[in-house]
Amino acid sequence: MISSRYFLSFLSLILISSCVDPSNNKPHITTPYSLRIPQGFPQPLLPSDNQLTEESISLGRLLFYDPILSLDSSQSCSSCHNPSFGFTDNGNKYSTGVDGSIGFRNSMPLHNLAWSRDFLWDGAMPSLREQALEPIQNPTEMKESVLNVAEKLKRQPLYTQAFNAAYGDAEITPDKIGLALEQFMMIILSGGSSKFDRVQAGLESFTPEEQMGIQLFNAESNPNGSPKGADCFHCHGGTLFTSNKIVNNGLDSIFTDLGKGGVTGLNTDNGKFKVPSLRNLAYTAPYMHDGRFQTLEEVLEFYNSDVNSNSPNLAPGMSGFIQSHNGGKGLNLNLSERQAVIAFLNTLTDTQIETDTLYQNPFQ
Amino acid sequence: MMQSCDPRPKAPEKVDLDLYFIPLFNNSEFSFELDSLIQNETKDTLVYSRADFLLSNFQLISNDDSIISFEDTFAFIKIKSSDTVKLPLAIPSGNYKELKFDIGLDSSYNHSDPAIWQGGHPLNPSLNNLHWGWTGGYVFAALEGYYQNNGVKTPWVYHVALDENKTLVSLQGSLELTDFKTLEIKWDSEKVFSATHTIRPALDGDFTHSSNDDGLAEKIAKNLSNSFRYGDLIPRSP
Repeated sequence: MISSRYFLSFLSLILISSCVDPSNNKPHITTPYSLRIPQGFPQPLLPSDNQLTEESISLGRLLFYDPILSLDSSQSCSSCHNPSFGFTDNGNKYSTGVDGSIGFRNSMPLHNLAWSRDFLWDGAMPSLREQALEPIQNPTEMKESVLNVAEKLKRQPLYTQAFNAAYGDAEITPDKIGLALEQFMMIILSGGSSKFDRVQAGLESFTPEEQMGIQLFNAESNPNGSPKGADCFHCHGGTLFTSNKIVNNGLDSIFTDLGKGGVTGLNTDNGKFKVPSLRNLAYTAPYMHDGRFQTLEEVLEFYNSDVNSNSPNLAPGMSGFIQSHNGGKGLNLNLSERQAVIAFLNTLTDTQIETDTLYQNPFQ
Repeated sequence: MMQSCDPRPKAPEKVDLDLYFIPLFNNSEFSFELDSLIQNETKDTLVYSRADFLLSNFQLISNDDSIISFEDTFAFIKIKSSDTVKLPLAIPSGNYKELKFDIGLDSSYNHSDPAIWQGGHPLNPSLNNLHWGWTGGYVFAALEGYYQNNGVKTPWVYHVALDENKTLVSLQGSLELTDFKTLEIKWDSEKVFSATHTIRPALDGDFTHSSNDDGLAEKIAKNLSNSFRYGDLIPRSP
């Protein structure tokens, strides 16, 4: 006998994953996809109006890798978000658009976006589905009209079938394009297979240098005492290695890019940019919103001694980075301490993101 | 038939209660990041940029001293967004004399696996940004802002954490909960710097994560416990 609890679960599964196709009254069946949440990760709050299905994810993957989304069919999302570079732009500081235009921010890595909010460096996009359509229409990127993309897709049997499989009809709209891209990007995960994750699972051990690195990472700034601290964890703590906040980390005292301030118009938001995840740093150089640092050594040097204490709206959490000490100001980490932090950061490298067939180009 | 002859609406047997937090500074509402505020006692010029709390162990004490406990009710309060906490539909209709809650968590929750909480749960680290990662434990109160230090806008960061800094807030006064209502709770944010202990960022420290701070976090926790008070009790629809 089936208990009522299991019967209700079964019933809700059917309700969630099927709807009636109005044209022929046949139920439209999709296959629910369960996000493989890495051990130790918090539970994500997934959008209730875009439940993951294998069909929509497949459609999203097709769209992500298809240059048909751009004006001249020369660029796809993956042109600037290459899985071999942690879904960033092939080591480039800035990305080049279809007509040769150069952008002014570094391409952000795409992983663990199911836990993220306020997308883009300046947090301008409240949802991933909206973010997904922005580069298509951006005149310095793919420079295409999303309505025109929909028209082009309608002429492709591959897509009429894929939209039909995902949504139960072959109607192709900008909203559906955004939803499918949202689904594909939400399932790109980094976690579970890095050395850090294996150490957490008790399968491996840190080297002494990496151990020193994690201790510095998690210790508060202490430039005048011992042990020292690199104070990374306030913005990059937790298994996601990001607070997902939008803050000013003191890169500049005069802003050429207003960041969030350019979105909100508030002076108090000037210079604020999204805190990126530190997972897969080895793949995602150069660093910062404008790609100003080529190496992690440069990044550590900045945080060690070059944070601008007079930067307007400097995040209060950065106060540990501007403390005075005998030789100047900052964290006062010596070279071996900085190298230890980098050694630890490199344990966050996750080769799975490069090789997982779920994420790869379906046209190859 | 007998019931239908009585025109008076019946009072519900049980009600719920919404708690709505209102941030004040010197008894006036203020905008985070935008307003420079003068602390009355210390004359320090302050700005708040963040005030986030984890609350637990809500209790209502009735006039006959019976205690209604909400053991599984947690709240993440981001004061900047005027958050509301809903105490569930488990309050016997009646009169109460005290509302209690903790700023912080019992040790068992503080050191539980943060990955177990569903998205949207107040203790989910992705939601609250108050978990210290694998080092364990939550920040109970994250207070941040700026102050003028010899004319220089300088950050202050007070993060109250650790089991010993869990802080009881007790609000006393008559609460007539015979219907569905919203209770305003006013947070006098200037009292963080003055309620019991006088704290001047420039002199007493502008930075604590609750360890190696000469007791600063403990003083802030004590001040916090005396920084909340009742506002209005407002009838609302169920």
